[in-house]
Amino acid sequence: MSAAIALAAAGVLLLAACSAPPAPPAAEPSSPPSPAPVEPFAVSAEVGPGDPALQEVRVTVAPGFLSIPSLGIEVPVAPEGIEPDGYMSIPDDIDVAGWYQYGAGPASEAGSTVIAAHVDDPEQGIGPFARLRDAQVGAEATVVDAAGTTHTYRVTAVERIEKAEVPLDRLFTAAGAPHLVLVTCGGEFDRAARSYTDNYIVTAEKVA
Amino acid sequence: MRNRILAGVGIAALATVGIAAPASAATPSTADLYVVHGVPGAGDFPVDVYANGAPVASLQDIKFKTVTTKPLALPPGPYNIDIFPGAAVDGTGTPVLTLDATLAAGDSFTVVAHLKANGDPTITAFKNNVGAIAAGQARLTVRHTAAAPEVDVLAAGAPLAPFVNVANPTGADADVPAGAVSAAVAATGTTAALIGPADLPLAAGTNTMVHAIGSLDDDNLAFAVITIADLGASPHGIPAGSAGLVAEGGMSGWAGAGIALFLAALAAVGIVVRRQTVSAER
Repeated sequence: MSAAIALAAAGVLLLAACSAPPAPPAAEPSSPPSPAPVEPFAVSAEVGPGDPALQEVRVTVAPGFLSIPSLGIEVPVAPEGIEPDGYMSIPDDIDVAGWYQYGAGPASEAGSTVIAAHVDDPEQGIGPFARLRDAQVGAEATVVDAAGTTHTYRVTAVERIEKAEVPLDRLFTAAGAPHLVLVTCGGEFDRAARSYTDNYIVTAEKVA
Repeated sequence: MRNRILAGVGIAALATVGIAAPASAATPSTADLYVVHGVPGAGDFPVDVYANGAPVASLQDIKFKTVTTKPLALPPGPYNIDIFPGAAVDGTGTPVLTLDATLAAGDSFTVVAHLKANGDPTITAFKNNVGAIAAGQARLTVRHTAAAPEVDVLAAGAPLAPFVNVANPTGADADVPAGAVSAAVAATGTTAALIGPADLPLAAGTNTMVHAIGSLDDDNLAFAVITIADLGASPHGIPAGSAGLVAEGGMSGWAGAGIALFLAALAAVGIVVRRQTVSAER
């Protein structure tokens, strides 16, 4: 690509060099005279101010509290991000769930709100997200966001997938109708790696 | 200023961009074209943008400092883009600026109508970096398209690599941790802001493209910012358990290996016992 730009630049320079000394003005490229009014170009854009102070900033509202009554899950939700190794960070406290703050939020018009929590911990024992594996399709989940608005979801899928096979780009998506993705661990436990082999993934569509 | 633009009308800067098809993972069927109006002038110099001889509906009478917030999604192919003074009767006159470009599916370009360092109007097509951005990172692109000497970008008052010694009409991009930054532009080697400081949100997964436009001499330098969203890559995984208290369907690793060793030991003992039994029978 840089080669192409360099070529283009060279082309411009050549044009300038050629047309400078003797070339008659007639040789200069010019647009053909436009005929009568034409149909507007079919494809259109949207325009706005370039000044950053005048531009809308897309703010993502954070989830604050998650409830799944049928599973007895009632957990506060804290914003989380990325560990240095590129994995999603998750609250150390197994009674707090983590929201992936670089994705969509419950008030977003599209995409997944991803909330994950540790299934267990050697000192703290078993966490509430251990009950995710018992989620039933159709179960209700609610999220109260940081602005105090309640968002209601209905479970559409409960999956257990080997970690290497987890479709991360499907879980963390900016596209599609707004939905909730709840994640924890499960499956066999690899004591050497101190980690589970699988993820439990509960997907819920937003209904209100 | 106006004289310069009128002079530009006669010259009609011509640039040709030859674009090879990129090896894009996703295979979109169109090319994205963003537009920046960065040529100052009387009444903020309204212009009409034409593509292949027809007016682009949303790009009529757009003024200095206007940008596209959503791109033109164009079918691949050759394009002739003409920019006419908005004051001219539609369908007549000579374009101020002309750009010929061949676009391939998946391309993303920003076409900037701007001033050269010497103040003459020109048009430059920049290729946008729309590659995936690591989770939690944001991309900053800065392009010098103003009538001004070389500049440095200052973030919170300090020069920010690689945006130093940036000359018209070049730019650079870099991926940085997501988060708001206060950005300004200063003449290279100085810290007196010529433009800004301006607060840029630099949200994760976005490419914030900052164009320095206008003229230092005419005191109308400005930023024209376009943001491309949804470029963020996913995290590498979700490690959400560390004790094995709710393990299902068996064990692996040390535990599994330990059991295997134990079973092997039992088997070995069994074999020995059997052999002893056999030898005793003899």
